[in-house]
Amino acid sequence: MNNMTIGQYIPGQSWLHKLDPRVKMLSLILLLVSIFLIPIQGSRIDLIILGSYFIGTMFLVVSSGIPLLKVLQGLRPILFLLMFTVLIQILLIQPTQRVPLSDTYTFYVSLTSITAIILWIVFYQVTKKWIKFKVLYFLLSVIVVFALQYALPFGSFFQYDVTLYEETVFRGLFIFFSIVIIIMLTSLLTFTTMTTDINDGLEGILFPLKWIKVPVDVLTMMVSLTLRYIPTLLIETDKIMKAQASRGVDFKEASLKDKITQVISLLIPVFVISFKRAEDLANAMEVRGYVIGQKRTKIDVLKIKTSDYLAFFGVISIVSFTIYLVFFS
Amino acid sequence: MGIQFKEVTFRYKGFKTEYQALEFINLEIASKGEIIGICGHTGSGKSTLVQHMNGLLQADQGTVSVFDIVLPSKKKVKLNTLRRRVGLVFQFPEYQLFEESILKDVMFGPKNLKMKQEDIERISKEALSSVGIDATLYDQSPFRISGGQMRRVAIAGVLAMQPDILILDEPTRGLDPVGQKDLMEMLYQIHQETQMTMLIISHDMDVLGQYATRMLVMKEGKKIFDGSKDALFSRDDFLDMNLDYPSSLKVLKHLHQEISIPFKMLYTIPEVIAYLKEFSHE
Repeated sequence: MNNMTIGQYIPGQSWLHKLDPRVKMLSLILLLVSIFLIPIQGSRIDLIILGSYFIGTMFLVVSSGIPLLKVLQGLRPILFLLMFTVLIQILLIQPTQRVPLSDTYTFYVSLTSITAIILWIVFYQVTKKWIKFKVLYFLLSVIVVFALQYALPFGSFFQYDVTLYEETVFRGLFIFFSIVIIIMLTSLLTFTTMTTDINDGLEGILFPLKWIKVPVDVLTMMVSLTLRYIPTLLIETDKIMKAQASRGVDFKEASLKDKITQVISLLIPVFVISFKRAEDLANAMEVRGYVIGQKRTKIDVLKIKTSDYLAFFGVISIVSFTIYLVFFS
Repeated sequence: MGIQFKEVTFRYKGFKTEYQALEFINLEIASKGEIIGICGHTGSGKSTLVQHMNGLLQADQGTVSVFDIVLPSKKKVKLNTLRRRVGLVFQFPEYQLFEESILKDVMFGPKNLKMKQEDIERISKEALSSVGIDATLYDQSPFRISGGQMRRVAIAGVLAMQPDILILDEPTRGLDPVGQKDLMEMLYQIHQETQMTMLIISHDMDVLGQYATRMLVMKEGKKIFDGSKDALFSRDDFLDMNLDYPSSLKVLKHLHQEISIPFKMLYTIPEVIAYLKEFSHE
């Protein structure tokens, strides 16, 4: 509790860490847009473009000094979605050019295969605690589900044919890799940039909105204060929880009706404390001369360095080259 | 036997780092008749120590036995029974108030312990009157009374659980001098009536000097002193413990140095005055 981290920042000294946050965020947006610009139809040139994006991302990860495994962990929450999209691409989309890659396989939804699948899922749920490579194990279990449908036709009441076509497989892989690249790039941003820097960068990027009277500096100040107070409030909550536990509250074992009063006994004090803190903070800020909407100077002024220009120029050229290849060749 | 610590070690575990908060503590506390003052530098492990006494924290090594319940234990222990017997009042306890009326808030603890309905109200009213909260205030919101009164109500909330041992973490902190004196007098009154053992964490040596019967000094997670206050204040290495003498002792020491009045261990101002008067008559 005492040294919890907000966000995912991993300290380091690489050039990606030192890059100006505004440049990093703008580059990220540009790169994401250009990845979406690559058409999905799967011609050779598009594949080469995507492949070089992938290699470039890998290069970025290696040069940032952040372990590849850590970056790939960002894929974990969307793994299911990813598998689902790829499977739908391969199984359901009808290709325009029917260039088969394989024979036609017949899968059976049958009494035997359904029982086997249920048994396998139970087995998977029980054993997954002891398996170290959880993601690989999950992939394996998806494959097993289809293998079972293929191998057990007995007592069938529904069957379907699947043929792998070049185009659908390409599409599947294409979507897979573009999502992987997107996730890796965004997690690289959060890994190499502190939340405060992201906030400053956001203020820098959104600066033009000031001309249409959007109070950008106030909004970013609010965000940074909120982030700053998350750990403080957690510590306070911990204290109140202990105090109420000393008064006989048992947060783990209690009936639903008791639980409601117990949660209230936690919520109200934390509310009171946060209001009090907010008031103290407001006074402290005012005492030090903070006036809403007034011009402020900063301790850390973001300065664009030569390396930032170079990086941004690099990104611009990558993006324009992609656009040229996709639309004009 | 009330509370017994055997070779207790505790570490706070953070992300990659560990912080040793208690190291091999051995300690025995009787359930009746003691007022134990706990002092030591900030971060010396005082609060961690007392949180072991009602099972909020459990030792990494060694055991804590509280009224014959041994922690940590492999079997499931009803921590609630333990928390009933050892009441813990945290720093700034007024922040734990939440109910709509003072009486209801004090009743919260006994209700959690599933006491009988008719007992709950009686016990809560007793607890409130023992901390000096007037019956006219019972239906007031606990957020509309003064800070000192809020603290009393919070202490009553713990007292209403009828603990055998009461632990107070810096009870006088943030109160004005009169409020401090009143609060300590009130606690002493309760101690006199019930003889319950009280543990008081404090930085205020005047408070501890006046009321404590036994002193515990913590430094960097270790217990460096355990004994009577006379023994503590007459130690040669006392100032190395980052503590200060009570003001009455400071006065007597100064008089001893300057005009060689014989030094005597006295902890309250009236006692000092009486002693000096007696001395001048001789």
